[in-house]
Amino acid sequence: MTDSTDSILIEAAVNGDMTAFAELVERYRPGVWGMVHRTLGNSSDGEDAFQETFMRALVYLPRFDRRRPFGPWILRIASNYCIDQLRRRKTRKYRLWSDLSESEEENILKTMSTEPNIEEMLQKNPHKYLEVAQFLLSRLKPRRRMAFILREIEGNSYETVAAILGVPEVTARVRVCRARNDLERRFREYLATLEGGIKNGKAV
Amino acid sequence: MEKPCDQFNRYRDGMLNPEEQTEYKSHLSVCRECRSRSFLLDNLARVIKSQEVPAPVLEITQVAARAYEKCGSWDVFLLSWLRPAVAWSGLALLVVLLSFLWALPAARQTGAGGEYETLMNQIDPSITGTNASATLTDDKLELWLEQGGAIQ
Repeated sequence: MTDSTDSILIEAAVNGDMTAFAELVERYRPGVWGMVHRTLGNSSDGEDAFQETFMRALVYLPRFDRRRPFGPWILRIASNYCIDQLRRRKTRKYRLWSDLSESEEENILKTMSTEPNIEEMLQKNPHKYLEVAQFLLSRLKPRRRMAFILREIEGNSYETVAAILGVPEVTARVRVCRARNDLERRFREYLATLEGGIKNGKAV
Repeated sequence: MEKPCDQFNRYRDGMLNPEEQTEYKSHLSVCRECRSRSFLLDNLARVIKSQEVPAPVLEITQVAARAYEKCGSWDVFLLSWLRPAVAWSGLALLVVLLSFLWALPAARQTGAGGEYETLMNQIDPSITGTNASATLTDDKLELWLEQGGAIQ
């Protein structure tokens, strides 16, 4: 059920109270911003998504069922927008402008799959690890990627993932499971390509 | 029978019972592939979570003001009431209706009655002396046709 103070703010926002709506934006900013940033990466895309999410929320606010919680509802708007954006993006077969050498990439990939905890190495080279991790994530299909981020990265329960994605729980489970399998397959292919000595920039 | 490796997702989602979980844990200690999958997913999450999420540059009041500004436009208002399913159904109905209206005159032309009318109108009035279908009554027209269209 919607938080009682949320409900009051929603009512006021529907009646045109901009301050009340700004308060709602402030409350749900961390969740929405975290999701769009982790999904879209690029900061300008993230800002557009953030703005668009709240604009859509305001448009649909009169039809929002106040018996339900507001958090998953606003995150669903954000996730739908992010999925649309990911679909429109041209899928890159390889990374551009990377300053990582092949051997560095290979080491990072091997470390990620053989070390139980890479905390120490991650602190030394956060950007390099992040670049490889984001590349692997970017190879996932938008819906699976979103489900994977919500479950594996954000640590949500399947019930919450399903509520945010607007799908039955079993569908959420299937998407996460497929994302894991895809990720592992891409990882193996990528590693094999690097081990095969194919130059960076060719097909993965 | 299910292989221990196939239980990976159920183990990760905490869906195994305590007994199965103990079994899978012992499997994990000997199966390099499952261990590698598990490390990869854990480390990937660790790396992504380590990413600093910068605060949005946008001011909250600006976001709210822009939302109200955009929300007031008539196209957004119209679209907000047009649910996708309703919009697609309406469009499909319109296409069906237009197709029907477009096909209707053609059907009239090619139907049995339409064909008869067309043939009658095509008869050269110089042969019949007149436009048979237009001037003869039904009885006379029938008789005229039975006689092979002989000139009266």
